[in-house]
This record gives sequence, C-alpha cells and structure tokens, in this order.
Amino acid sequence: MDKALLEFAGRLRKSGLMVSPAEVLDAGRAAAVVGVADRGVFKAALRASLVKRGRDIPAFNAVFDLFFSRGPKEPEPKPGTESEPPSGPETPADENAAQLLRELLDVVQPDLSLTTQMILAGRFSQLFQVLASRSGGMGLERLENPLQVNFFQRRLRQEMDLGGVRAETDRFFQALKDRGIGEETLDTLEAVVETNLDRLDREMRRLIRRELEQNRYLFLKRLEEEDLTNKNLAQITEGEIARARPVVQRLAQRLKDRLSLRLKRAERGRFDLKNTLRRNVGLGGPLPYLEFRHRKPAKPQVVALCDVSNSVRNFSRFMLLFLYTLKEVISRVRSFIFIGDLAEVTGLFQRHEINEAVSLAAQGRGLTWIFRTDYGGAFSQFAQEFIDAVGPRTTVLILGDGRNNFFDPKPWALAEMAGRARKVIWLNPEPRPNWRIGDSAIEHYQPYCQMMAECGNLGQLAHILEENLAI
Amino acid sequence: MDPLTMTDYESPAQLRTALSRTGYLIEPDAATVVFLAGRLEKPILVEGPAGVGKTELALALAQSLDRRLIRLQCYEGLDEGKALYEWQYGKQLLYSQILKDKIAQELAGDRTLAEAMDRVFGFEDVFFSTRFLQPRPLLTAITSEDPVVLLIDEVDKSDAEFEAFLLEVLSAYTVSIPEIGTIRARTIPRVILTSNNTREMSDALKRRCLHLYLDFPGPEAELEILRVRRPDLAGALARQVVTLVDALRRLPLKKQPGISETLDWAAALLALSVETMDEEVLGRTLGVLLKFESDMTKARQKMPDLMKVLASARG
Repeated sequence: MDKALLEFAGRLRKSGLMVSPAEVLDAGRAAAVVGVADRGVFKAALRASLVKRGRDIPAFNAVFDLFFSRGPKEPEPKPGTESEPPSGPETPADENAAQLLRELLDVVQPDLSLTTQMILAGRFSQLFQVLASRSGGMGLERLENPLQVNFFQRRLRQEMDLGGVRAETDRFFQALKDRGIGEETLDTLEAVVETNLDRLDREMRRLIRRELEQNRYLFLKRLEEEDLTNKNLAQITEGEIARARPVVQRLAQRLKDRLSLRLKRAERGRFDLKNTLRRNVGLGGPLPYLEFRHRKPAKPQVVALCDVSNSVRNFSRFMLLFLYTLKEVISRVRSFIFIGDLAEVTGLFQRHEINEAVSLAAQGRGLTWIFRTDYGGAFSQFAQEFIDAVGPRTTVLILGDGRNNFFDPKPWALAEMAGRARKVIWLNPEPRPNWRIGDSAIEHYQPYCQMMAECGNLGQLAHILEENLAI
Repeated sequence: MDPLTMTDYESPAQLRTALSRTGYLIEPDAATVVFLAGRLEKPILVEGPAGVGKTELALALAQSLDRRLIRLQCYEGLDEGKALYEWQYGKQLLYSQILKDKIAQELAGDRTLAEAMDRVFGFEDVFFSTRFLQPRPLLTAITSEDPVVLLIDEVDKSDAEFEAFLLEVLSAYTVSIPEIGTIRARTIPRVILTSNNTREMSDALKRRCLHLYLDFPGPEAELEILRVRRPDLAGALARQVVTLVDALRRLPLKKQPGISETLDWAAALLALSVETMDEEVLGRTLGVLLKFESDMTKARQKMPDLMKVLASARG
C-alpha cells in the first residue's frame, strides 16, 4: 500500500499538483483509518489529505481513476467465468469455431507455451494479467510522447514473444491438418486465432495509451499555462483569451497579495506622543499603551488609455482585464479607449460583468470610429476633455504600440498629462527593436514617460505593475 | 455512553447520521473528511462558494458532538492580540498601584539599589502570569477543560502574517507566550477553517489541514435539505424551488444563489403563503435569491427559459 501511495503521489506531482511528503504521510494515515474497502471513502480520504486547492480536484480525480483502476486493484474476475471487455459482437459461427478450437486443444494436447494456449483458447482475463505483469519492467513510466506508442507496442510484442506464438500456432495447425481436418474448418479456426491476436493487440495499445495519459495528464495543462504566461500578447487569439482568463486572475491574485502586504507594512508610522499621553492619562504616569501616527498610504490611482485598434486590440483587452482584477489594491481605475476618437469606458465596467465589459470596450461600442489609430488626436482630446482625471496620485498607463499612421503626434498633449500625473507608464506590446521603425511615434512620446517598457506577455506585465504601482 | 468515548464517531456513516439529526445534511465524501479530521486530529480547511454551508458545518458538528463552539471571525488587520491572547496592561497597572504599599514594605529592608532591583525582578512572575492574560479565541479553545469546536471563519480575509500565528496552534495545538512559556492544549479541539478563496492560503497552512471542498448540491440533495430545514414547504413547491435555483445557478451570474439563499427563499414563500410558483411570484421574490442588480436583470431576461424549466419540472 505504501509503495502504491508513493507512486500515486509521484503521479500527482507529475501532473502538476504540489504534494509534500508530510501530506503523503497524512494520506497513509488516513487510508489506514478508513481502509480500502469502500472506494469512494478511500478516494475522499486521499483527496482530503493530498489536494489542497479546489481547482486541483479534477486533476486528482483523473489521476486517481487512471491509477487505481489497473491490475490487482480491480475486483478480480471469478475463476471460470470469463469477464471479457466488449470487443465487437461475435457471431455464433465464430463462437462455434472458438469452441471447436478449445475442444481440439483439449484433445490434441499439443506442446505449447502458456501464452499461446491462452491466445488460442481465448482466455483473455488471464492473458491480460500476464500482459500487465510483463509490461511492468519495461519503463513505461518514461512514456511521455504519443510518438513512442508504436515503439512500446513493438517492445511489448517482443516481451510477449508473439513471434514464438505464431510459430507454435503454425505447428499446431500443421498437426491438425495431419490429423485430417479439412481446409475449410482450418480457415475458420485460423480466423478465430487472428481475432484473438487482434484483441491482444488492442489491449496492448490501450495499456500503453492509459500509461501515456497518466504520465501526461495536466503535465500538458501546465505547459499550456506557462505557455500563455510567456505568450506574446500581440499575437494572442480569441480562444486563448478565454483560456487565459484563469491565468490572468492567478497572476493578479499573486500581485494583489504582495501589494496589500506592502500597504500593511507601511501602515505602522512614527511614535505619536500626543495621542499616547491622551490615551494613558487615566493611568497615573506610566504609558503602557503606545500610539503611532498612522501614515495611511494612499492606494494608487490609475488612468488607463488603451489603443483598441486591430493591431493591439487583444493586448489592450488583456490589460484591462488585468487592471480590473486588481481593484482591491488600486483605489480607482478610469479607463479610456481610443482608435481615432477617445471615449471613457469606466462606466461599462461598473454596469457589466468584467468579461463582458472588456469585450464591449474592446469592440468599441458607442464610439464613432475612424479606422486608423491617431495617438496625437486621442491624447489632445484627452487633454481637453478629461485632464481633471489626472492628479498628483495618478499613474497614467498607456497601452499601445504607438503606431500613429503618420498623423501629427501632438506630444504637447502627453506633456500636459505628464505634468499633472505622478507617473506616466507606457506599455508597448511590440519588441523594443521595432519601436522606431515605420510609422511609430514612440520617440516623440518617450521623453514624457517615466517608463516605457516592452510588455509582450503576462509575466512581464505582472512584473512591471508590481514595480510601478508601489506605494 | 461514556462521555470520553463520545468525543468521536465510529465511521463516516455514523457521523452523517449524527449531523443529519441536527438538520445538517452532508455528502458522503465530505463526511469522510470530517470523520478523518477527528481521527487524525487535524484541522479541516473548508473551501467553496458562498452559502453552501461551510460555517454551518462547524455549528452542526459542535451541536452533534455536544461541544462548545468557539468562533473566531477573521478580518483584515486581525492580529495576535485579538486572536491569541493579550496582556491586560490596565489590570497589571491597577494591581501594582494597589500593592504599592506592600511593595514598599517588601523593599524596605534593602539597603542598596541593586538589592531592591533584584527583589523587584523576583516579582516579575507575579505580574506576567496567566492571571493577567486575556485569552482570545485561539487560546481559549486549547485551554478549555472540555473539548470544543473551534471555527476560524473566513480565514482568507485575514492577512498573510496572521496565518503564521495559526500554524503553531493548528499543528501542535500549543501557544507560545514569551513571558510564560508554551501552553499546551488540555484537550484537542476540532478545528474548522472556512475560506471563500478571496486569496490563496499559504502552502504551510494547507499542509497542516485536511482539505474539503463544498460545492452546490445537486437538485436531489438540495431538495432533501429543504425537506429537513423547511418541512412546512409543500413537496411540489419545494421541487419547483430547487429546479429554479438549479437553473439560476447555470446562468453566468456574479453571485450564484447558495443553499442559504434557497432556504431564505423557501422561508419567504412560506411567509407569503405561496402555493404554486409562477412568473409573477418569482419576479417578486427574486431579490431574496440574487444580490446584484445586474444578476436580476439577467435573470429577468431569461424568464421565459426559466418558466420552461419550471413547466418541465411540473410535468
């Protein structure tokens, strides 16, 4: 049991779950208390001690079902009754032929290996047990790639000595022929053997595939997730956005934890003599209760300006999603989107579910569009209409590639914003070497930004925000 | 039965029966976890959406085991002074004032300052003793003579530092007080921590707990809960209630109605003496189930679908 449990824990780790040795010990104790008689209870016991996050439960269930469904843990088929996995209906003719073959085996008593006897007589449950035990020493746990399936199947065939089985079968049929059994009967008998071999082959494949699934379950998922964190946001697709949502939320959560810790640490200020005296005035001298001047650190405010033109639309959508997930640590987010014209979309976020709002914002509802991005136009419009949104505590976040289609960049508008804001941060999804090429107006704007960073993926984004939203 | 052996249950099934007697119905898997927690003397970390009965589990467990429930409600800024213990400075001060003369007498024989000082150091233990200690829920729970159920509610609302204090209590059932030493538990409390997952708990904390994920029950299970908790509600109406709640949970809502909302709704329907469910009744009482304006709008838009579901439940 302990060995099985260790192996099971190994599988879980491979699937991306964090399982500590202490938890494996707990699982062992838990299993000892409840026993293995009731599968449901056993599973619940293992789950409670090994899985500590709700979202890991499906992975646990999958690995559990794969792992504890093999070999001896399954109820053993009672001897004599062949409980065979369904493998296509056998016609009565086939059944008769199989019966005949079994009888002939009894009568002739040829000198055959055990494996061959099982195959000829169609004793599959025994055969599959042999198969399972033979596959044990083959290093199947190394199997991680579907391309290896055929290789392992060949190995498994050798292990079962199917070449030898063929030779023995041929000899047996020769012996039958010598005893004067007709060609036609022999053909049907041979067909039976072929069917049985086929079935063995299928079982081998199933075994290998299951092993592959066990090894790769969630390993793949984890890869996918890491992939999204590092994926270039400019090239992200609709489908990936849907998948990335939990990843975004997780990143945001981690960031939130760290930022709120910082808020807390900053809370305890300097010793406050006046309040200390006042509080302890009734105690006749000593000052047991100390008071501190609380320096309530201001939560950062953010004004986000997002380019939602086609080139960077998904990027901006991501950013907005991210910003609004951070609402606990950012006191106020006002967001604006633009292509040619600019519009405030903060209200959308108040009225709609975040996902919906982001897509509404990204689709640009309620705006009249000219179809080419005009940073200068948008900035000057902002400077005229919304400049009050920017104050000394505000961080202005500009999301876009700065590709201005050769319009007038009007850098004075950004300068005006920068003059009022605490900070201007420009996040650009394009790789840095491409910034000054073509219609990019980045260099006009750069002087007014405290920071202009390449932000190609979620990982970079999290890093930048953590550094810059600091108190 | 001997009160000592009453401290725990023989099997998950027995625990299930005992909890159901208090009106709390629990799924077999969850019962296994609660049972194990008792056997392994481990805390349970209960997670799940709001209103599925996480807190209720602790209440029911306390009731069924006939133990006192000690509750620690967590919030941002909760510190050891509120959760573990606090020195009663005021009381210490008051006593030292009252005992002033006595102290003067004690010190009268000392000729040098150093001698007096030594003697005062000898008093220290008098003032830093359990007498001046104000126990807070965690300390109360482990020093109690009779075993208790300790509920640490919404632990995710507390700060990450607070978890550090919890660790010692939860793994060794001890509390270290620098001035006194380590206080060991007299009895092992049953500890239940609940979390709404607003933040991920630290791995260290999770490692020390058994994990239980409570989800919304299926319609059948919920119907059973309704039968137990709102026995006055007619069977047919109860089924309609459960069906509609289930359908609502499938909508993409900000906050899905929990079991507690279902129970509230049932109570509301009883109060209004509703006999059969229809569009008008649902519309009027929707506020009991849904807590956001946008959710209510969404539900109203889906009203025809909901009514179809309802009709099929009747059929």
